[in-house]
Amino acid sequence: MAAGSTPSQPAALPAAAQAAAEPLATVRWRPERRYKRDEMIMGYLFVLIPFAIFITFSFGAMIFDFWISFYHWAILDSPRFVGSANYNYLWHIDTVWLTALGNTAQYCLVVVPLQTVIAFTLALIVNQNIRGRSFFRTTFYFPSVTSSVAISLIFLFIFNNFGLLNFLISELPGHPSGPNWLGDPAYALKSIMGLNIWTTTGTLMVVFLAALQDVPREVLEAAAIDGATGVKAVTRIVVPLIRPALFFVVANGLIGCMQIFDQAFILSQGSGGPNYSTMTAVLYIYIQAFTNSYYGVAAAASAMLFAFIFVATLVVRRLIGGEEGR
Amino acid sequence: MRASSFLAKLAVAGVVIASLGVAAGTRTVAPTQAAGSVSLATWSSNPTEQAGQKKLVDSFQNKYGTTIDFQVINGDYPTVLKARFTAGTAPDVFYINSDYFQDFASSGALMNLDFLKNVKSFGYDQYYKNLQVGYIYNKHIYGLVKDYSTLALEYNKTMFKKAGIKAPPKTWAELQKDACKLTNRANKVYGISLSADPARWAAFLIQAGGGSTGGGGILNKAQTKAYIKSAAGLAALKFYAGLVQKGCAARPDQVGAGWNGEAFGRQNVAMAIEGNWITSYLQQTFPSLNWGVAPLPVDKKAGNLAFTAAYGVYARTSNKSNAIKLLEYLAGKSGTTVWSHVVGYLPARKDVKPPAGTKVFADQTKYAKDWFFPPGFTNRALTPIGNDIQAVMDGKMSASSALNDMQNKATQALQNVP
Repeated sequence: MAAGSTPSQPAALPAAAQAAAEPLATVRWRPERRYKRDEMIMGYLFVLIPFAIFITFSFGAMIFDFWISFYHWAILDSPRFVGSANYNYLWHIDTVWLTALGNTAQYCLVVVPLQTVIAFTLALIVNQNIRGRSFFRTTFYFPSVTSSVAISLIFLFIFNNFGLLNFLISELPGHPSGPNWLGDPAYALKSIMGLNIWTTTGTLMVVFLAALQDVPREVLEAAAIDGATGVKAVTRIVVPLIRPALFFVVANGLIGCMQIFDQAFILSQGSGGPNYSTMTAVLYIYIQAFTNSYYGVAAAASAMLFAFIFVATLVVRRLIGGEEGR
Repeated sequence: MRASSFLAKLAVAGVVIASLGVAAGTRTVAPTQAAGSVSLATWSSNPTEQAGQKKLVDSFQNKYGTTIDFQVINGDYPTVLKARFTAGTAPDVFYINSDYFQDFASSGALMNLDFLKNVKSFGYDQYYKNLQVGYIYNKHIYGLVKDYSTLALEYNKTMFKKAGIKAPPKTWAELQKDACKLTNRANKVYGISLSADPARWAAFLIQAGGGSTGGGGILNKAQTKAYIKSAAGLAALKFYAGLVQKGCAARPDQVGAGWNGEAFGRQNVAMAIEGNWITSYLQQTFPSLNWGVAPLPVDKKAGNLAFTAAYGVYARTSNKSNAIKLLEYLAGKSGTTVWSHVVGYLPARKDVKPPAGTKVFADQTKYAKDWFFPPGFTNRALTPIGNDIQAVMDGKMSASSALNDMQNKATQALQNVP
């Protein structure tokens, strides 16, 4: 209906006839387009504030990071343009960044497969109808609930050269002496790996458990009739059925591992460990930004880490796939 | 139906606009300093220091009537301070450390204090020159050193008596002999705790006749060159790391301690090299320990390091006169006397007598090189130097290649960053 203009008699007649012709039942639904439009407006209004927060603090901060990575900035003065000098410094002059990347890669390559396999195994166990399964569920999940900082502090005592772990090792027959877990460059990163696997396996187990409970019994029974039981049933049938959960666990695990900071910071007391063995990418960024005040270099390192994580996630998506099957 | 949906939309729009309005209206307002008040920020410290700070704050408030807004910054002190500078909530007077002093001074956060040289009653010439030099940047004064400590050899009197050693060692040779005699590996006891830290090893570098007159004895006065690689450096490194290699000494982490003082207090080691801060630590944590203090052993000459802390004033403070009044009191003769006598730290001024029990530390002042470096040097050079010392201690690196690496890293760190 044209708004504003007075309909001339011939134009008004069809409209009036139309109104008279439509029964009462359609009066409620007539402005269907307007209803949809109203709904859309309401939706956007509700999302407006969280979206504004996201744009400012997440997306906007990321853009700022990319921008400042081409400047030299010590936060108390104004940024000074230096072009690609920060990136050059990271790749060619400072060897610690490469060590940090190497440590992070080594860490991810060990932790992600291990925690996925262990979490899946634990979920399979807890999914059975065994006695005390809720006790096992609670026990396996418990480490994820506690604060990572608090756990790291406790593990400082456990991993101490004269601490609990070495005491238990020395009680074994033969009285072997355990290594200096935190002071020996060969063992420091491994201690952090063990600590993190213990902490995060619980959460991932819960994810797998939820997915396992969605696997219909009939499928497994049909497979059993066809002669596929045990390990075959698990690997050939169950794993493909929980592909979305598997993708979530591996992708999230990978993203989280590439950003590891808390445990490395606490167990090395902020230094990056004996001979840089616990220096991870984010710890390096932290030190450059807050200890050395080289915000430009830290921003460049952050940008590079973002690129690596992005590519890694794409690779995982390609290999394991999300909702779509291969 | 339409009316209610219209009202709902209006409500949502109203909430959105209201919250945006609130967000825009609330700005961070810098705390307005009431006339007659000034803010003082310190890092978190032990109860002894807190008692000293309280005494200083109370006596200043009583004397001048100006109230002090006393702020304790827990956690990463320089980071929090920097955040407050940019947020506009900076304290007027605050503690600074030589680690980040040059960082602050070069960015214009500290007030130029040259005018104090002309204030007769303040007595700027009473400061020890070799301690105050760390707080002068570009030939201007930006900080006033408030206290310092040198290193000394702490020794366990009970263990010494049991091993039949009459007096603490005075030379390197005696140190090695005594440490090996006191070591009992079966009982997990070592002669001395030596941390893989240039802030301890540099003293040995100076004693061997190496190093220079600038920062930490490692750099020259202009802080442009490092003097690590030398015959003296090799001798110092071989001796220091050699004690650990021989098994007569241990790093703190090897005996499960966080630092030399903890290893010494737990009696895992018979000797330690630490500064005056160990006194209050041992009094509080290990009060029954029977220990004594001796000067550091000497080689070709005596050598020591001085670790300082200082007061700074925020350059853009809105409270200039009160801030200067507070600074002149804290860093002047009366404030320094109160501080050092309550807390037991060495005063950085010649006109204040060192408190009782600190004679050994105070006597070492003339051999001590002030421990301060250009920004970034700590992370880019001192950390790798510590790594290299540890590598030699563990037998993973030879002393000469470690020395080369230390010199290279120090030289690189003195060149500019991007």
